[in-house]
Parts: sequence; C-alpha cells; structure tokens
Amino acid sequence: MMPAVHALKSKITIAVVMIIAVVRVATAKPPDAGKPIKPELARQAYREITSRERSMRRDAAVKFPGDLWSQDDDLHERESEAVRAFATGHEVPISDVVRAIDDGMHEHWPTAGTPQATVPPCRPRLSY
Amino acid sequence: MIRWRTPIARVRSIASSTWARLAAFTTFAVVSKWFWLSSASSLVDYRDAQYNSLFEDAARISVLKFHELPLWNPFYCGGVYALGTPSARFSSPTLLLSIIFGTVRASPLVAVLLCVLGLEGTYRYARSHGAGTLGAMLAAPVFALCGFFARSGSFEWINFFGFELLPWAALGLRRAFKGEVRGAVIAGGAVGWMTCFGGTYAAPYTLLVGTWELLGAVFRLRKERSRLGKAIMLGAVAALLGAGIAAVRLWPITETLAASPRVLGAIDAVGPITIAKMLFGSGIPFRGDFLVGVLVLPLAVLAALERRGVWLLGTACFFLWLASGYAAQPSGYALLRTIPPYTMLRSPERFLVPFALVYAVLAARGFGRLEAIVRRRRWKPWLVLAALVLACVDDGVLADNDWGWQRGRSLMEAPSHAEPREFANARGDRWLAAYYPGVNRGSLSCFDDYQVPQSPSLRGDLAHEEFLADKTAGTVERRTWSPGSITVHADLTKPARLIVNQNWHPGWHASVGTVASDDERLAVDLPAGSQDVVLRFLPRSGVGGLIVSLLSLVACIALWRMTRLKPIIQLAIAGAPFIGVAIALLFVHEPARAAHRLTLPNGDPIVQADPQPGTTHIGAELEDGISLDAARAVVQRAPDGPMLDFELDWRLSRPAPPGLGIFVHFEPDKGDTVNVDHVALATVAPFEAFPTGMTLRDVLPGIAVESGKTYKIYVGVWRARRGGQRLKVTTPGTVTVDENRLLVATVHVP
Repeated sequence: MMPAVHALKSKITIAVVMIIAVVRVATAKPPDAGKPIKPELARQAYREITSRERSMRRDAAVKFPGDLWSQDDDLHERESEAVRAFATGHEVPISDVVRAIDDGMHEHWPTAGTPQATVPPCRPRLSY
Repeated sequence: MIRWRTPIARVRSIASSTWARLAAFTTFAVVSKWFWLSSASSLVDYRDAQYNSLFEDAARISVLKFHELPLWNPFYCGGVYALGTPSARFSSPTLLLSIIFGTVRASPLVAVLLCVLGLEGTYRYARSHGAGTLGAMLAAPVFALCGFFARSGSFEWINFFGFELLPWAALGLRRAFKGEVRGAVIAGGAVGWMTCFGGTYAAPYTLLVGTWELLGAVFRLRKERSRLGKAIMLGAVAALLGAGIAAVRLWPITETLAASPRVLGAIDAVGPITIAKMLFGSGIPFRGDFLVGVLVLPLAVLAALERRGVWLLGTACFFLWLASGYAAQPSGYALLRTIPPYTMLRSPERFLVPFALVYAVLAARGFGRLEAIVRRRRWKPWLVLAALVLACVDDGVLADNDWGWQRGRSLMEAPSHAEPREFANARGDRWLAAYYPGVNRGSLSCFDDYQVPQSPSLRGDLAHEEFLADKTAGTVERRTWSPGSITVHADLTKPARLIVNQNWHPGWHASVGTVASDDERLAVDLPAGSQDVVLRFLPRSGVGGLIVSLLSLVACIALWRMTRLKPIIQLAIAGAPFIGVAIALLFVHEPARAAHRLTLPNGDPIVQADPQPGTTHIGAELEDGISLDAARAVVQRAPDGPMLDFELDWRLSRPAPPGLGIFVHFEPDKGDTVNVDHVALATVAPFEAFPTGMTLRDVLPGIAVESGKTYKIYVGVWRARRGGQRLKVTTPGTVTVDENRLLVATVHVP
C-alpha cells in the first residue's frame, strides 16, 4: 500500500513540474518586435540596405580572396547586420525588413545599388 | 550515528524508487533549464540557430499547413532533400512539441525531456556497472547536465541533445551482450532515435562506445563460447534494429553525402590543459564547455583504482586520447578520421561527451566503494555524508553552469508568420534564414556543413517561379503549391521545357513529360498541348527508408514481447524490415544522378589535354604523382579595385590519394599574407575525382589585391584532411622551392 502511495505522490510531482514547465514556456513574453512596417519605410529599408552592396562585396572579396561562396556569405552577414540595425532603429519587426528586401528585389524597386539576384552554390570552407 | 544516516537513507529511498527518482530528475531538469524555459519565446542570436530552427519549422509547416510528410524543404538553398539534411531533427517524436508550441518555444521543452532521459539512462547504465542506487543517482547529472549540453542549448544545437540517449544505447548493448533481447531493442531504439534527431555525431560516437561494450563482453565471455555466440547475435540484432529505425534518415543522408561530400580540413589539436579546463573549469564560478565537475573526481579515482574499474578507466583514457585530436602522438583521432563516417567529423573535443558518461559511472561506483570501505573499516559514517554533500554540490555546479550559459545568450525576436502569400525563392540571407519560412520565402543564400547540391542559376527576383525556357512555346501558370507537390497548367503550341526555380533532385516525378535537370534546376520536358502537370517529390530512399523504419518499430515491439525466441529467429525478425529496401528499389523509379560535371563556371572543361596558352611552364613534381605543369597570374582592373585572376594547371601521374588540399599563399612586400587554400580544384571537386595524365585547370578568379604591392605567390599541396603535412617537392622544375612551397609567380599590382 505504502509504495503505491509514494509512487502516486511521485507521479503527481512529475505532472506538476511538467505543467509548470509547459506554462512557463507558453507564457514566456516575446521581446517587443515593434509595429508593422509601412510601405514607404519598406522601400526606404530596401534602398538603404541594398545601396551598400557594392562596397560590402568589395570588402568581402578582400576578406575571402578566390572563394566565391565565402565572399557572398560575408556579404550576407553584413547585410543581416544592416537589416537588424534598421529594424531596431525604426522599431519594426525583423521579419518585415526581411520581407521588404525580398519585395524590393522581386518588384525591382529603385535603389542606388545593383543587388545580385543569384548566389554561388554552398561550398563551405575547409575550416570555420 | 543514526543522525548521520537519516539523510543518507532518505536520499537512498528516493534513488531506489523509480517514480521518486524520476520526480527528482524531472524537477532537477526543469530547474536547470529554467532561464531557457523563461525565454522560450525568443530566438538565440547565433547563426546556427537560424538554420536549425528553419529545418524544424519547414517540417512543421509541411505537416501542419499542407498535411504532407516533410520530404522536401523548399525554404533553404533553393530546395533541399529534408530527410537527407544530416543535422535536421524533425524525424523524431519531439516534432510533436514543435507542432504544438512552435519551433522556438518547443526547444527548451525538448531539452528538458531529453535531459530527464539522460539522467535516468545514466543512472541505469551506472547501475549496470555495479554502482549502488545512491551513487548512481548522484552521478547521473555528471553526464546528463555536463557542460556540453549547457553549451549546445545556448547555441541552439538542439540535435546534440541526442547524446542524452547515449547511456541508453550503451545500457541496451550491455544487456544484449548478457543475453537479453530487450537490451538489443533498447540499444536499437536509442541509436535509431538519436540518428533521426540529427545525430551526426551522437550515432558514430555511440558506435565507439558500443565497440567498447562488445570488447568487454568478448573478454568476459571468452571461455563460454555459446554465451559469447548469443551475445554477438544479439549485438547484431541491436545493430539491425538501430539501422532499421534510422533508415528513414540513414539512407537519404548517405545518398546526399555520397553525392555532395562534407570536406573538412581543420587539424584540431587539444592539449591536456585545455581538456582539463573544459572538464573541470578554471575558476569560480565553474564554467566549462564540457564541465563535469571536479568535486566528484576523488570518487572517480577511488573507483578507477579498484580492479573492476580498470576497464572503465581504459575506456575513459581512450576517449581522452581521441579528444586530444592531433595533439596526441600517435593520434587515435587522426587514424579514426581515415574511416568513414568519421572522415566527416571535426572538433575532437566532442569525444569528451562519452568520456563524461564513463566519468559519471566511475563517480557512481566510487561512491559505493566509499560506503563499503567506511562500513568495513568502521570509519565515521559522516565521511559518506560528506561525499554525498560534495556530489550534490557538484550537481549544483553543473546546474549553475547551465544557468550561466543560458543567461549569457544573446536573444532576438522570434520569426513571425505573416499573412499567406504565394511561395517564391528570395535571394535570402542565411544569417537570418529562420525568418524566411514565416514570410513564405526560400533563402537561396545558405550554409550547411556539406557541399549542398545547389543550382547557380536560381534567382531571387523572378516574377514567376515556374516558367518556360522558350517563352514563345506558350504559357504556364501555377495552380497549387506545397513543399512536396506543385501543379502547373501549361498551354503549349510546341514541345517545351518547363523550369521551376528550385533545385533538381532525382526524387521529383512529373505526371506529364520527363523530369530533367536544367543547370541543376528542376525542369520538365513537356509535349505540346493544354495540360495540368503535377510535380511530386517522392524519393526512393525516403520511401524505402520510411518502410524500413516503420517495420523496424514493429519488429521492436515483437522482440520486446517475445523474449524466448531462438537468437537466429530474433535476428531474422530484426533483419526482415530491410525488405523495404527491395520494395523501394522495385517500385520507386529514379533516374541515376548524372556524373559530377567537371567544368569551370564559364562552362569550359577543367580536364584538358594541355595547359592553356598564356600560362607559364613550371614542370614541378610533388609526392604521390602530382605535378604542377603551369601557372598564370593576371591582374585585372575592376571598377572597385584591382583583382587577380589566378590559375594552376595540375597533372596526376597516378590516381590521387584522398584528403589532399592545395595551399596558395599570397605574400605581399608589406602587410599580411593572404591564403587561398582549397580542396576542390576550381571549387568543383578534389584531386581524387580527376583522371590521370591530363591537365587539370584549377582556376581561382577574382582575388582582391591591393595597388602598389608586390606579391610573391607560393603554392603547394598538403594533406588537408589527413594530418596537415605538406607533400614534398621532388622536382622543382623552373621555380624555387621554400619549405615544400613552389614560388610560382611574383606579381606587382600597379
């Protein structure tokens, strides 16, 4: 009888602890992502970020000479920083800025840069 | 005396009761992951978190939104074979948590679940090695909460939590070698699960732990031939069940990596001081990438000193030896890296994970030995209580280390799922890849550890993702789309090629016409007429693997229930699911993959009869039948500054051994040396892929150089994936040699 009672208590403990974990996960507050981006700001995001592409590519070419994938990947790292800085600076969600860059490329929005629409196939470096 | 014994007896009673112990383990797991649980709505700000979340999210979307199996992932690299993606974890029961809570929120719950499994597995494994209940429970966190898991969680390397199943695999094998078929089922189940959970490291490492268990069994049963025969038979049952359950991933991954290998060149060496810091930390608070805690070290040493602990000590030393990588001489790791699949693994320090398991078992046994000594010699029982307190403090140190990693994470907003719109490929950004499925876009920009089969012609700016190669042939319009199925309506006045802006894979089938690879893009050659074309992704390895996996699960149930069958019948039951391979080969037809195209980006063949005109003759010879016939270095004026187009023309007099790499050092007269080291000639394929007796053009265009500098360009070959030694230059030809480097050109940039 006693072991059965102990087992029941233990099972209840497990259930309670798991419920606490699940509730904690479900109620965890996301960081404030900001307000949805407006069309004009989306165009501005595209313009600002893609206009830097040429200099970013040159810097990437110096950093990873002869390695096309690494150069392109380095450009995207710089671009991601620009996207996040724009999202933070204008208090808009990152997803919206990501979408703005894509919309700009698909709809050929005006920009001072010449964004390339292709990427070299993924060829990771020997060590990273 | 009674006062000392009371707390010990209480903890022992918890350890002895399965449910009480599980309650303690669950509580400990939740407490140790608390900060992670509390920030479950945020994404870890780390690059690997992007693609690990994307893989899981892509599977979630396939199941939840399109009600189909996640076979094809269209959101990454222009489309990849989801089951063939080595580190994807979705083919595991934990996908259910991702479906219910969302990918990002589910991560800490998956970690808690696997942590509890790891704690209980370590407890049972320690018990199977003769540890007492109390020692086993106290030592379980030494493995299941070791620093490796804390660190993996903070980088969102969730698939590394598959290592928590390692003690179950080892325990299962141990029981199988003792003649229990249920042990084989446990081992097979654990290996199958960890492989389906993206266990690129966990599964191969488990194979090594299993080898130690096998050697131990052979040693123990060397004089009992019939028991040894049965043990080996059950070991084979475990192997078949493990491979069978994992088949849904093993077959596709093997196929993928055979076509697109993972090429690693790092020569990792980990010194003993570094290993000690990783395991024990180097200050207070204790922090370590593989922290196991120093406080239980006396207990582990106590166990290692007894005769029965020699085997465990040997195992621990073996994994320490491997973990030191190339620092050890001779290097076991270097030897291991010549054997598939270990050729594709890096970071030898990860062998400290199986070491942590053995260390936990030793600590558990040491506790029991201390108790026995105290009892036998009638020492003060507070010694045992002191050991218990120390072990508890060690467990607390591990939890604190976990908290430290969790609190140290940088977090960012989780991707949101925007309003539905038509899928299209975007140029994308792998550094923000997790955000693309939410906006129904694929990211062409991508990274994975292997050379992803990806078409260079994919575009991120197309008006339509499906189009005709010859626009005058008619019109096409998308009717339906899901990750694994696309319906297009075509009105054609003449036969034409339909191109889909995604990667080709032999698993794509069309209801009309013939599927083709158009510069590695998915394409269909269609007849004239008005028709709906349905493209479906149904890969043979995925279908066959799934059948084998499901049948293997049935075999597991059968073997678990029928424990008294003859070993040969048990073996037959474990092997029967592989009929799925034959079924898939018979009924799912796939074209053979075309041989790798050995061409330069401009379409010229890499393999040519002679060096190109305009190159400078060199005629140098190196070891292993490799010679450098000629080279060319031409400075080009680009709008953004000078660029160097560089070419090396190699020749093989006999087939090249695997694992070679080419190093190129640009040494300027002032400033830092620029290295252009590579394994694949012209970034296409390594030496061993090329024929002998021909010129092999290794073209490296667009190397950024600086005006006003003079560069000396040194070239050579080294064993990039085999220890790092340079190949000796046997004949210098027309150039000078410096430390087995050939000075092929001196270029002044105006």
